Amino acid sequence: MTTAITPAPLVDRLPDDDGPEGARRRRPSPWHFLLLPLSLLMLTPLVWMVVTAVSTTEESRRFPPALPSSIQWSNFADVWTGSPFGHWLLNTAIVSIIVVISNVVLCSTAGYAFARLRFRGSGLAFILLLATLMVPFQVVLIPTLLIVKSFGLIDHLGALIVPNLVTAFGVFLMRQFFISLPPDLEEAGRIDGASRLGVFRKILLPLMGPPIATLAILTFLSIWNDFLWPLVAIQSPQNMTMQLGLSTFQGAHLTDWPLLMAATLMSQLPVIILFLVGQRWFVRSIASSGIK
Amino acid sequence: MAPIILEGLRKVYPGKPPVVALESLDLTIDDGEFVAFVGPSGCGKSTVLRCVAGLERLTAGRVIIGGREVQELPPGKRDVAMVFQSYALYPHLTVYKNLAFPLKERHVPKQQLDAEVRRVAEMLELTPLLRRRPGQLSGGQRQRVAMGRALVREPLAFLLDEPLSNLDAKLRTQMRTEIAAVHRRHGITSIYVTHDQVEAMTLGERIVVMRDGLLQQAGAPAEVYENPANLFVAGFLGTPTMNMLSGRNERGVLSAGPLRLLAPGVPDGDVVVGIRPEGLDIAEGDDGPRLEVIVSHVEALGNENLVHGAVAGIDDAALPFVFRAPPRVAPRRDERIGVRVDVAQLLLFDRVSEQRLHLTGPVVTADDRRAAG
Repeated sequence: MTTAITPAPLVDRLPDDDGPEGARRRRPSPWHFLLLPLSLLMLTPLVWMVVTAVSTTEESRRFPPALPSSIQWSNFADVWTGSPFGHWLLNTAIVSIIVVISNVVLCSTAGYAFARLRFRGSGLAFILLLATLMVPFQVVLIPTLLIVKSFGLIDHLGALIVPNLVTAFGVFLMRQFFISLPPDLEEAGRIDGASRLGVFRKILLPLMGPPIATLAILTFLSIWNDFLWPLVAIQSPQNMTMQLGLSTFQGAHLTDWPLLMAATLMSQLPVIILFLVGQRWFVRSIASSGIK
Repeated sequence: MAPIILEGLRKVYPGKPPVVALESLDLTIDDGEFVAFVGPSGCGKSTVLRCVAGLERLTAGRVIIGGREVQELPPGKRDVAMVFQSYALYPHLTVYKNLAFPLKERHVPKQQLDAEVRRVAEMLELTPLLRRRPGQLSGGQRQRVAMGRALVREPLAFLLDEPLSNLDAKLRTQMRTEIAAVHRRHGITSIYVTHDQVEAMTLGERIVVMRDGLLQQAGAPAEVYENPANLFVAGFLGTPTMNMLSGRNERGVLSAGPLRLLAPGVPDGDVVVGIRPEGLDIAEGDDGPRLEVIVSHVEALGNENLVHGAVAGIDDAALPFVFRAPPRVAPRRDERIGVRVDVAQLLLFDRVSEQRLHLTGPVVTADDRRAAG
């Protein structure tokens, strides 16, 4: 008796072709019944913001909200001409960019030191650093204000930059990533003739792309969206950041919602563009840091 | 190329209690010599290599490479190259850039750099892979790139830290041949660290056996194998390992299980009798001193069988005992089988100090002596 032998396929089936693998990927999962309504729910505020931003004041007060009869592009022009919006955008960009760069440089070098260099008291210093993560910002708000005041930085962009130049969280994040890199790489670099700084710059930093992107994104988001500290440290309208500026659209008795939403939409555009460009890094950074 | 002199090397890792990784190691490695350090995990062999490379700071001692004291110099200034167990290739750089890295750090002119990289790539058959990244290479190819990166700048000394551990058995044998060929071609003084005695024995012109931070014995592979200095070296080298029997020498007669031997020059006291598997044979009739072995299991290797068991009628019957048998001899479990002992190949050790006992004449059985008398 002979046994038929089925020859093995010469090429493994690719996951994206029309085979059972691909079909399974397109088949709706029970999770979709939960995730789809949730996604719509998440999108609602964004859609509402966009609709309000192009509505008239009267239309914006209707409930339930409805699509506007005509698109009011003038709201965006009114925001730009009726407020120092350009100033706020520039201020926020300056503060964000400087803080992101300084955090990337200082947190990565400090993280490297805590991960790799053996120095007296490094363990204690790191524990103290971690301890600061447990103190809410509201607790240190007044002491920080007093320190910044003693530097003469009140109502100055420096007040928004200096306290954020390096963060304990950033140092911790970078240290954890440096620890995960094999020490052999560094040792090989040193034997190959590179200095410690050379090894850091030429070997370790290029491998730190994902954590640096994580740190940059998280820092950018926190600075761009920060409201409390600028509210305390900045007074004059020309030094305000975006979030602070947006609050000026809100009156004690009356708020012009279309203008506020148009300004909010404009303020979120850089973040939305950043998200679209670096969507992969965004998701990875939030997933890897365990922070929302 | 340069001789390497290690003088009183001592390395203690601070802690509670401090860990002594290396205790007063003295060794001279000749110019162009290939020395293999071998020993179990934690014996200090890698620490020696790291101290020579400058990756560990010595607690005491001197490292002299090519007549220059280097123990205070950073790794990059010692002019040594190292191949790591993990290969430590720079994952973001292509093979070409990995090979070029040490030259670039030494500011070698671009044209010379290119020529050197291509020469080494050609020698190690890496030319078609120059544009690939380490992640796109197989284990053997990565190993060759690591070798190439070490060779490209013609260092004074070549340090290899278990470079074949991550390869499968077949590739390991192939790479062993390649490493030997590279050493023959370049003649660079090399220190090779391994826990694999086969690698050490086949590659090393001299092997250094380490244990607990102490040098146990250094010498040519055959010499160390045949004349181990102590019980540890005897037990560590050789596959299958040496069989050990407890014995006692009293009034000139050494008793070890059923064996009665005369060992000239051995003082009275407890001894350990070492018998390598090649000193044992299946007994056929009454053809000399023999042991009875109760078989526990048989490893069939194709060309031969390794018969494991325990010697019957001795106190330390729990000690494993192994000998080689032809493929046709495959005893069953619990079967008793007679094994002939070649007394000329016996090695004797002091039970307390574990040091080798040197004889003043050949070992003979007490029966032989009586017959001769």
